[in-house]
Amino acid sequence: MPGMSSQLFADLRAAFASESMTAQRYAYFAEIAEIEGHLAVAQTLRELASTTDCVAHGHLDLLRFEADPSTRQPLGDTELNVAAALTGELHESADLYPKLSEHAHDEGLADVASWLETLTALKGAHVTRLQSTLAELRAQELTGRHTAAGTGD
Amino acid sequence: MGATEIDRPAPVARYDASSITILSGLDAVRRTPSMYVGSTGPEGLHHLVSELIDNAVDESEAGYCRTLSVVLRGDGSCVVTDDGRGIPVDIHPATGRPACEVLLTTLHSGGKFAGGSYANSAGLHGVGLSCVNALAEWLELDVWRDGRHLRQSFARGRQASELTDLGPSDRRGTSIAFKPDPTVLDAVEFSADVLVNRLEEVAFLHPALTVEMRDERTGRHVTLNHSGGVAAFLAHRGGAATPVHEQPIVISGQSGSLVLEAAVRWTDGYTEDVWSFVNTVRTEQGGAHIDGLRAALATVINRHATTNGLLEGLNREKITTTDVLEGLTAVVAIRMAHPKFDGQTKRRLQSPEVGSFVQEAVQDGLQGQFDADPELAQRIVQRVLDASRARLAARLATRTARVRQRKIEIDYSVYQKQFGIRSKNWHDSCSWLADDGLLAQHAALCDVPENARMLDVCCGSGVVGGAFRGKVGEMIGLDITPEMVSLASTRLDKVFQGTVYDLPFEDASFDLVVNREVLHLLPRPEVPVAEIFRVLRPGGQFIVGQIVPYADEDAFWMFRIFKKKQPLLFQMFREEDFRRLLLGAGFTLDKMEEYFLWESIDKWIDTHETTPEHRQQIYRLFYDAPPEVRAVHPFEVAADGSVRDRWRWCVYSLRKPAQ
Repeated sequence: MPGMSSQLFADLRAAFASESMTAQRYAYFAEIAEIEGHLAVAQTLRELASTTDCVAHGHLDLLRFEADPSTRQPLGDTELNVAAALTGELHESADLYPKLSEHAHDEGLADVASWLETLTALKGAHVTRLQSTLAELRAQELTGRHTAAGTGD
Repeated sequence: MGATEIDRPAPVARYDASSITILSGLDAVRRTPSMYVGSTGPEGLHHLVSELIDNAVDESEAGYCRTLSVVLRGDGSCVVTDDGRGIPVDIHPATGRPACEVLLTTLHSGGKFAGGSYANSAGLHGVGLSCVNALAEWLELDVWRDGRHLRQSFARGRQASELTDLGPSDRRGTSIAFKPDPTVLDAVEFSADVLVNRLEEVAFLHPALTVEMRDERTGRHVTLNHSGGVAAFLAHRGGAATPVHEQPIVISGQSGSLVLEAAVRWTDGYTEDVWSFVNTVRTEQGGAHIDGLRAALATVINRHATTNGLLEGLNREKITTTDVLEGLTAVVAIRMAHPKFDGQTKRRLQSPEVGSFVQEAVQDGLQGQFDADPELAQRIVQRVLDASRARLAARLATRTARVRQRKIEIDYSVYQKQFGIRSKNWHDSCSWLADDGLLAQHAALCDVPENARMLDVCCGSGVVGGAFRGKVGEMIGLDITPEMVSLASTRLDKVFQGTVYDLPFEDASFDLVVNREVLHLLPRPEVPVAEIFRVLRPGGQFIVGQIVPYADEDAFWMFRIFKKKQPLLFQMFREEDFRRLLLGAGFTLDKMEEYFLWESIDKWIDTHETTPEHRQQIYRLFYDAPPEVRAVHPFEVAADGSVRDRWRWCVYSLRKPAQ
């Protein structure tokens, strides 16, 4: 696929972010509609959310050849994708959420700060998990290559 | 051997081309039972019996069946017998086999499918009998019909004997005995309680039917015959909460083939209990009929409140369809032809025409009763307004505490209101409050002289302090609400009203301070911990218990649940966070002990602090918990949707260093 201009990439990335957000909003609205007893509305919202999921993935179909819209890391096969995921979680655990919770504390919002701290912890756990996933993936690949070389030659 | 013959069992007699289709149909049921009966667990297992019960109910609805019996045998089998017309045994023209055999071995072959046999049918879209047969290790059918007694046996969905005539009989009816097949079902042990519950529903909704349940494993024998209809059913299932009005409001309506019977009654409890049925089959997840009911209740109550100027306190907000649920108990039974459901197991009614029918019928019915009895209307509207006010107060509780917080000032009245109301039935509000094991865990850590002076901070009812009786000399309590102060005074020597942010006590005036599950409700917990440190004498002991997450993976999930339960939650401490808070005040840690306690979430969220919407969201957080949470945090969801959560308590023993 031919490369796209940085402007188009930026705009498409923004559209991807917006569609991802839409899918989450609709799913959330659907739950509230269900609780309020508007089952038909809930169903509409769920269906729209599901379509929107598909749209967001369509954006990713295009973006993945340029870079990860979230971390700007290269995407491609699983190893690259997991590496990008790890970069994202590292940013969230080490930078995003600690700063956000500090900010919430500054504003005197203890509950918001506590919520954000639970996320710092969660993202830390995700970093650990993805690190070992990536390590296993690389180890497998190494073993695989050795085997292929052994049988091929 | 041809491909179509590979699956053929040895003892089977004659098979023709059409029977190949029949076999593959039931093989599909055996391969994925959940698609047909909901699950392979207890729910699916009992669904099989329900299916047989529903067939008897259909016969009763058609006016042919007066008795129904269910027997649980010692060998793990179940027998369902009715005195209906008996399943047809004549030769089915298309297959040349007895009709009963076709019914039991063919997917989608019920009389309900052909139409005409039953106006309103209860069973599983006609797949029922054959599904039960498919999932049974063995099944024995007895039919008494046209003066004969006939019997046929089946094994795992296939015919195992020819239909045999056992001779003349003046009896009439059908009996099916079956043993669930453990090779395709995970649960094969029947629960008498589950079945009695279902049979009770059948008996209440079918006054003409006498229902019997015999459990030969335990000797339990129940006979049910109820003539009081939905109102009696509601009174029977109503639970422990005090009703707001003594007599349930009964509403009925009919439009063409649609028939509604409903009974509603509000209680002073918080959770809603709504039992809904379509053609006597329970629709656990409600659907169009329940939506119609809620919309109608909200409309009539709003109308009454508006006309009488009662909405003024609500700040121009309206009563919502969620507010009417608080404390609502209701039975809604619909009879209709061709209902449409979400999925095979009938848990949610979809037929949209039912929604408007029920809404109209309930609006008319309730309005009529309101007009006839203004006092009743007043009581109900006031009850629902309480729920609306609580919803707005919960929203405000968070906001107010936040706004004040910016000025480093706490609005104590918010806490007084939240916990003052709770003093009513305090110990019934959850298990942990009065759990002896947990209290003993706190008391066992006590290591102070016999004449020690103890302070129970935010003492609530005083049970924690009370657990130290005999281990200390003087027991003092402190709480912010006057209601709790008077409650705790029955357990402790002296109880003060005051705030934990500014303890009304001298420096170094206590040997022991105890506290449990409080610090998470405070925006700045380091202040009270420092206050506790201050009032302890050097060398004094601080014993504190707190619920904490199991790991980094469930903290965020617990935050959402606990915040929805109690809007005044400000912290979800992980174990290391809590420890850091305590050590940060200057305490040294003697010991930390864990205690695991199963808490009923249903009970825990049955409180004014938790709005009906939050209650539903809390259930969903459990039902849809992410796998990462499930991997670290044990909880159980029962077949009826109730939830038990295994809480991790950490109880700390700390010391103020001796000087």
